[in-house]
Amino acid sequence: MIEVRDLVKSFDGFHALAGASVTVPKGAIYGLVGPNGAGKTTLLRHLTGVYRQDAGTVRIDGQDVWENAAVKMRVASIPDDWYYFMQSNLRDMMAFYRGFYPQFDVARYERLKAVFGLDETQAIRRMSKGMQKQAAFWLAMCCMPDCLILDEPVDGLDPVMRRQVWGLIMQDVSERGTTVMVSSHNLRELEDVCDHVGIMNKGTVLLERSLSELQDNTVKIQIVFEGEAPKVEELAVPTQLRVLHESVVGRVHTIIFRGAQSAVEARLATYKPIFMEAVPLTLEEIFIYELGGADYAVKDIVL
Amino acid sequence: MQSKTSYFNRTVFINDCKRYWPLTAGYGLFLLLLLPLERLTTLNHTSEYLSAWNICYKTLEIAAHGGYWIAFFTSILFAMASFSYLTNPRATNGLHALPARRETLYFTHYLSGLCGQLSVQVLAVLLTTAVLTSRGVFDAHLTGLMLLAMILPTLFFYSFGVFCMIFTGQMLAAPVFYFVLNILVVGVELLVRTFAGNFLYGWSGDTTPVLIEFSPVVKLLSEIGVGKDYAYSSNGAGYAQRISGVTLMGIGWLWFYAAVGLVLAALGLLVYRTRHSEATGNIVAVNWARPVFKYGVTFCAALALGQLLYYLFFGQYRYNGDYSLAGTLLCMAAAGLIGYFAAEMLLKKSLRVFRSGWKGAAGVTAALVLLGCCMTFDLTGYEGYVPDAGQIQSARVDFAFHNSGVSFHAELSDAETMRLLTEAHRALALDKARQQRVHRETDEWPIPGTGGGWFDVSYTLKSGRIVTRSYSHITIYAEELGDPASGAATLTAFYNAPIVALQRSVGWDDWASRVTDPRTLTDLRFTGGYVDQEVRDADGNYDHSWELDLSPAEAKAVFDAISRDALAGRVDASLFDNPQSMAGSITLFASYIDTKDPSSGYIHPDADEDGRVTANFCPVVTTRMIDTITTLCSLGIVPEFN
Repeated sequence: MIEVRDLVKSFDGFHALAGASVTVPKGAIYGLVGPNGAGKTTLLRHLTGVYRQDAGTVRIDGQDVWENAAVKMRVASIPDDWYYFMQSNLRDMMAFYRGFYPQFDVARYERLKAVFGLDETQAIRRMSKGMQKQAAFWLAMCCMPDCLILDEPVDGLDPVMRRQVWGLIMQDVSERGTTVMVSSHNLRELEDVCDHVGIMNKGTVLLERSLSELQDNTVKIQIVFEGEAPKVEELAVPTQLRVLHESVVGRVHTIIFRGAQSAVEARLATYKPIFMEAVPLTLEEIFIYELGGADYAVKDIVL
Repeated sequence: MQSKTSYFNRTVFINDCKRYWPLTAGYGLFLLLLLPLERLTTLNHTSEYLSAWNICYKTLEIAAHGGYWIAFFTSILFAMASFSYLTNPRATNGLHALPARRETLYFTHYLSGLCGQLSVQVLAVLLTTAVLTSRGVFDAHLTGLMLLAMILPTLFFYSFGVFCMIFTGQMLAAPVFYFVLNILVVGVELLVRTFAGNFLYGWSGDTTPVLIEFSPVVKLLSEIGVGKDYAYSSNGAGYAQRISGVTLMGIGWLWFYAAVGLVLAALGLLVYRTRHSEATGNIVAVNWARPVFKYGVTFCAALALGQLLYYLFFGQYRYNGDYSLAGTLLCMAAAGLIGYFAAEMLLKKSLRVFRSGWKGAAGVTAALVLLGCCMTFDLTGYEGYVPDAGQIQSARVDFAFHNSGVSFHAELSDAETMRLLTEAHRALALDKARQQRVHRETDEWPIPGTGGGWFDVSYTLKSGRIVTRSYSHITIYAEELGDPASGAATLTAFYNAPIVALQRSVGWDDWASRVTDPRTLTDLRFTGGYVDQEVRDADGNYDHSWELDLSPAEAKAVFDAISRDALAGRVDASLFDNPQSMAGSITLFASYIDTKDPSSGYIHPDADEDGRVTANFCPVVTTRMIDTITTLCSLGIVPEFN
């Protein structure tokens, strides 16, 4: 289990992380989402032992990550800017990784040749960005990690290879109980693979839940009132519901609430609407509307 | 549970060796050309003419000097290669994400760079030994010395290079730090000395560094050498000498700096553990070192660039103690600010530092102005300080006056002479304003009819402290001889003190110890001498000349007589006129054992195998030296005075 508590990190006075807390259950695929500069990569670099925190704790299975080689042997990572030696090819890097990860599975490496189809003797620097990403996946998967840290992992991969890679990861999760933490801006893709989501903004984690919990707790209602529509504030007050967003097209109001669907519908029923329907929310919508409340809304700009 | 600490990772080591083999190969090729191949080609042509020890000597010389310079220049390259990942954010993050502790990475990279060099050095030395052996010269001791001469400086310079790499996140900054820090202390000391020379009246101007140990490349350069051991044997007609061995000089310092290198390697680890991965790319990657860098650059810029600006704009025709305060402060402040903002730009990686850095800049300017004012108003009491005579153990005095041709230098220690010396020194120090004004306003210096010259003194106090002062342009006036507090009167009183007179008359003008009090020479034995005179008639035309040899006993008698005259005050002289001398010359031969500093192993360069130094001296005899003239007459020598 990955456990980050009250993580603080500053760079030259800039607070990249301001008390971020994350809990990733064992065997979960945790999607870390957030706007640019939210602190996702910084948080992931703490999990791989690259950065040392100013305050807070970063633990995997109860052990501090910083300078803990035993823990890091169980962690493989694919950063956004994966590093390879300038002159090296895949076999060189495989040998290098084998030296660090005692559980490196050479048989799996051989099996994955068929999946990735890369030329092992080609210098990695001569590969395309997508091929380099494949190489990183190939090696990371062979490290047999208990914990996989991925930062924008499929960025640069073609759709087939994306599906292939996610398939491999899901297989590892189901068969070996691998815990995966992945940061991505591709929310549509995350929605398909993640079972837990954390939303970061300005160095903190605004909320983290299982995806189903998150979707259950956020309701999008399309409603038509009989007379004049009540004010938004009135809708939320008595039942502790929170309105994340409201828009009106004609007489149709689209309102996004945080709260249980039953509670929302019960509350709105008191206004005797002509029409009321709950519409499923995508992760992207949840992301946008949650961050809208955190002062990161999509702004209408006239150019 | 934390993993157990491991200081070595085989994978990293092998990876480093694989990646940087061209550097190792190039280094090896260079070293092989320098040592075994050079020896092979040279010995092929000259071995029959050279003795075995001469071959050893030359070989060790190449290994010592070549090894030193190669270590100095290539160590930083190996350090840069081994720790290059610290200058590339991707590489830093990539390696730090691996399951290895910082000390594992550090020591493995450290060892890979070191082994790359040492392995090549061992190979080169072994091949050289093989070459020598093939020419019939095998000496295991020489092989050991060659290895030490190459390995020890490498240990230091490489560790120092690694230390520099740990402090920076920019590849190109590492060699700059390396070369600058190697000479920084000596350089700053030189700058401080020349800076003080701008302000301080009486500043000695001595630029000989005393903190040379902190500039290893300079210190080792001055210490490393190859010496020959000689054996003497009697061959009937005399002694024959032959080389009996070769020694590596300065090996103590090599061991010392190698040990320092290991300490630096350990300190490097401590710094590396505190260094943040995100600091990669910064000129100074360690937080606490950033202000040190900023204010260090500021200080050095103020001293170096400030002095250059001052010299260009204000000070080309000034000398020590005579300066433009405003000009100096302006130049120093301007140069300091340039240094400050340049350092700020490097640290912040931005040109927009003026607004954010104004507070620091103001502080720097204030500090520099304060420093300048402290020096100007002599708040430290430097200019007026003259030690009490009772505090002085000994003093070395050098002075000369151009018009009269007076030139004197001596080592002195007796209490009365010290009293007279400090009085003269005090009078010159108090006369600062007039001395500077005269020099500034006078076109022709020295002024005709005055005593114009220089005066240097270096006191060794009983506390061990050394106080040195130098007055490069002083003027004394004959009309002030009646004023006992004037520079002219006090200097004349000193010049005519009995011990000074003795030294003037029979002082031993030795290149190493300047003028030595003859009474301090050990086992002074006179071996002879002669008196000669060229006599002229009333019109000044040559009339006749004569020369008379002196036996050792006669020479000693003359010497004793001159000494008695001097101590009796009959060898008085003026700083304004040439002394009236006998129109002839006396030359005395003597030998002595120079025991100036036996503990340091000092041997006078002119000493013979018994350690005796043979010298001669030519005392000036004046008409008031009654004892000397009487002695000469008793020896049948009647000088004819002009």
